[in-house]
Amino acid sequence: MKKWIYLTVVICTLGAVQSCERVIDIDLPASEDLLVVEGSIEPGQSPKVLITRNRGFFNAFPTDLEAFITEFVVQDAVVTVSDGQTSEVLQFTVNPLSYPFVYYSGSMLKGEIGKTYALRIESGGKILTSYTRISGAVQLDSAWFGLNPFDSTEDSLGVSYGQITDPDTMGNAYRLFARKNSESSYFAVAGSQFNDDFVNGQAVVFFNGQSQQPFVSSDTFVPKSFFYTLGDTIFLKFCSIGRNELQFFNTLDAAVNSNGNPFASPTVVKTNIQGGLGIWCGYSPAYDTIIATN
Amino acid sequence: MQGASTNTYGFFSLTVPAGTYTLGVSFLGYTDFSKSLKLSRDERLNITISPKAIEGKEVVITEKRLETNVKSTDMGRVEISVENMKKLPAFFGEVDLVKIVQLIPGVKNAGEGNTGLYVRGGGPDQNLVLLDEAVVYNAAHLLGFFSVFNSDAVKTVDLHKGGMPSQYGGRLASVLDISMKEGNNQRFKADGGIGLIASRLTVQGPIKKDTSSFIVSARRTYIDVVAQPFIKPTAPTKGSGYYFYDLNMKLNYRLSDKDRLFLSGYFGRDVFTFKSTKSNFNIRIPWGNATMSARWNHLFSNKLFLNTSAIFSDYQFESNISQSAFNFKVGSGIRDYNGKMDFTWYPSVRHTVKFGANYIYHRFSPNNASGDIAGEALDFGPKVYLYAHEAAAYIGDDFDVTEKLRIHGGLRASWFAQAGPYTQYIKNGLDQKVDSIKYEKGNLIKQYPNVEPRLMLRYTLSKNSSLKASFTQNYQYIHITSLANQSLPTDLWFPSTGRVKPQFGTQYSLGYYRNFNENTWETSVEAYYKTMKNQIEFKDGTLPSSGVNDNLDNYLTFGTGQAYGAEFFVKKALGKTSGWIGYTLSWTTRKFPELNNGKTYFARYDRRHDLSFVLTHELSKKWTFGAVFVYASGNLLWLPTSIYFQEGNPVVNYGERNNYRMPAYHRLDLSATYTPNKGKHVQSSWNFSIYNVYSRLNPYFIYIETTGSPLTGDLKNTAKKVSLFPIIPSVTYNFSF
Repeated sequence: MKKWIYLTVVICTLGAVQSCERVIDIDLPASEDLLVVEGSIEPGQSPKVLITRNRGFFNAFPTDLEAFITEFVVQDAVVTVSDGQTSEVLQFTVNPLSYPFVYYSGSMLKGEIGKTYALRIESGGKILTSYTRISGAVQLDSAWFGLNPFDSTEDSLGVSYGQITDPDTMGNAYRLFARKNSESSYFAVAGSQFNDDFVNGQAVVFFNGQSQQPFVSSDTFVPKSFFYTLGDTIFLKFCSIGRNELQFFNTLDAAVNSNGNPFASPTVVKTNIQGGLGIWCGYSPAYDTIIATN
Repeated sequence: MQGASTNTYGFFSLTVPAGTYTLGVSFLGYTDFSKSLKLSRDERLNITISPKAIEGKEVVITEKRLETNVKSTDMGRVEISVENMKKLPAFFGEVDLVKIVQLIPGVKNAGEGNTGLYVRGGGPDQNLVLLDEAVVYNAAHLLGFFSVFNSDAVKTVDLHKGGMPSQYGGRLASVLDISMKEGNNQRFKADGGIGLIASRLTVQGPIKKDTSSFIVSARRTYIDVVAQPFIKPTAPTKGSGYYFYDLNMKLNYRLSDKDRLFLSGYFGRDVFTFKSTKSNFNIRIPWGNATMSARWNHLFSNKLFLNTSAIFSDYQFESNISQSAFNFKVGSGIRDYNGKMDFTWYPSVRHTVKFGANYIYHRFSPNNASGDIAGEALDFGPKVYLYAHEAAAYIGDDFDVTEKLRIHGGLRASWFAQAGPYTQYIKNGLDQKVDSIKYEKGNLIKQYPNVEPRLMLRYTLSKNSSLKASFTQNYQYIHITSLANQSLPTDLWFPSTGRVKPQFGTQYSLGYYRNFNENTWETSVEAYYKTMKNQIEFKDGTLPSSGVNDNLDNYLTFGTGQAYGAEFFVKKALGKTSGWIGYTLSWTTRKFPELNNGKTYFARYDRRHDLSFVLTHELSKKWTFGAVFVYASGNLLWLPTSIYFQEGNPVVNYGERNNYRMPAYHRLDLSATYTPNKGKHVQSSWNFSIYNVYSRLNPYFIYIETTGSPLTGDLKNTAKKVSLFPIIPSVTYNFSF
């Protein structure tokens, strides 16, 4: 009898507290057509600018890279980069070996440390502008491999460590790229960006997992895709960036992470593109290579 | 015929020529008192009125006197009798004051899971919630499914949503003034209730008959206890759970005919625990309020009454996380020390003057962290507090200019100052700290002196109808803004600073009041227009980590707000069938230069239509039935309108702010209360309630789920609606002896 009362109470309570989830159709207001920039410039290199379109939130997605390129990538834009003295109109290029595979690039204008680069894009009646500066590179003092710091029993998976000495001047910001083994392109390591607000002028040690391949769902967490494995050759590309650009990557990460969280406020990604979305970023890289050994 | 209202403490004064009179006294929930008087000189009279039996016939909401709604200058004021609320359907059998208040036109909730009050287009921080004069900073239990007010301990609930009289201030939208019961000074009495998820017990009685009394009331939920036997001892999360409890107590002494002393307190906590035995991981999150008020009533003469109060008020939120040898604690909160003096003066029969002064010392603690590893303390720096002084002096007069015209004119002078110690960081356009200013203890960093006029008029059109108008201006010096979409216990209060200016509100309202059929029916229409300055939001792109080692106000942006609407109210106040219908048509917008490209947008709690229907019917002495129906336009959400790719990741892009209105909220609740004949000592009753009778799946929130990858061809966005409560029957046993 006692158990019966208990059961009734618990079923009533739990049954009530359990939430009901339904898939629903919602009518969103029409979205504005926007151009999205993913542009970078490095010392000694031509700028690379990928321009894509946004798309209605519930629209179907392209099923492969080819479809992505034909449906999302803008191929007829007039893209001009200028350093204040010289300017060059970039040409649409296809390069299957190097991310982002399709982009606007040039031959004459190359990045130089200390210079500011203006970007101007014209396409379908839209004009987008932005500027970025290539700051001085900060070298890695050292880099090494270490086993997973979160799990003392781990014996094969681990992370890369790096150490830098932040310059005395305030306002430095950084972002890490990495590739491993035979991978051809460097990709950004999610969440690796930081600034020197709390560490100005100090030695800083940081550790990171692998970089993320583009177009790979991060729905399920697989330790092997986050950690390096003993024996991996790890190539690090540690880049100095500007503070506005850092804000973009900080908010981009938050937007990617909070997507779907009902209690989180919508994160507005802070773009540095006037008239569009995305980023135009000057990178000043320093390189190092590590072999993952215990 | 002449009348007067008592003040909160029961004091009143009437001036009449010598002669023979019949004095009648009435108070909601109490039996009428009547006495014949032959007056030839000043007389003092102590009147004790007794509560009506629980099966009393009065309505759910009544005004003090039959025509008070028509005669007073109060606009947008509602008083609620607690005893009668117990006849209404109750969620899980727990009668909730705040939920009932939300059935009044002009007062909205934000849906299930949110006890935040939204009054006439204002935000949840714009309401002054008082429990025996102490500010309650977070009135919600369990993410808002219940309020902190235990209905057994509460005497009256007084809501001002329109013209705020000058004795109140510090908030823009409303005052919810709750008084605790004083304790029976004649005999011992116990009341209680046993419900499905919570139980209550209240004990009251005389300390010394006629002169002093006490009341103690306690309530606790027991889902955690009830569920325990069904959780395997080996379950990985054994020991996880949630509960809340409340304690109310009050003492009162009649020191002499002229002096009374009250001491009252509240303490409540919500506690959420999570234990994972496998990973040796524990979380314990307690949060809650504590208040203490000491009050002294003194009668200087038959015409001058003084109340002096010393009040302490505290809200704390704490999060403790431990894993193996690692312990981490982060806490936040607000604490007030408050002193006030309030005079009520009856200089002549045409005037009732209230004046007084008030001082509050605030201590705000934003996120303060501490921790240790195996007993070794971790260094998170010293605790950071923000300090502020808030003071006000006011005067207000209820003045009968002519038989038909009554004016309440009031003036409130308020002052606020942020005080040191404080470090203010100066930033440049690139969000870099370039300098800091250190303020020493006691230094006043920024002061805000202001004057707030209050004006209310009533013009009597006939015996049972009147026209009212009001104009009020208010300043609000402390604020909440939240990064989250919901009101959560983690919301931080923070003061006005050099950068955060006080919120400033102006409200105009106009109303027509008319009673019908010997005051059986009360009706009113009120229209209002409000402007709000210095409204606060986080800047776009602010992250939860942004405030660390920085001033929170570096991340805020400021704008204006506007609200307007009309409220229609029809109430049947007397008879076996009573209840009301309230309907509100309203708009509320915000405009921030730095948000939404500077364009005006509708506030999240903008609500076009809001309808409540409340009914009780006394079928017999034993059976009373209740029904509540609510309909409200859905809340606004800010949803993404498009998606784009950045470094291969899908990123959502938001369109205009609050661009999507959720489906409407509606719900019907029914109740039946069975009151058997009184036993030898015990009077009991059973309340059977059905919440959400037709099991409407009202949206709690909508979220977007993104799955798959474009390369595998299954990338997809799906909108999902989460509803909390389907139909919920409950039963509560109440007793009294």
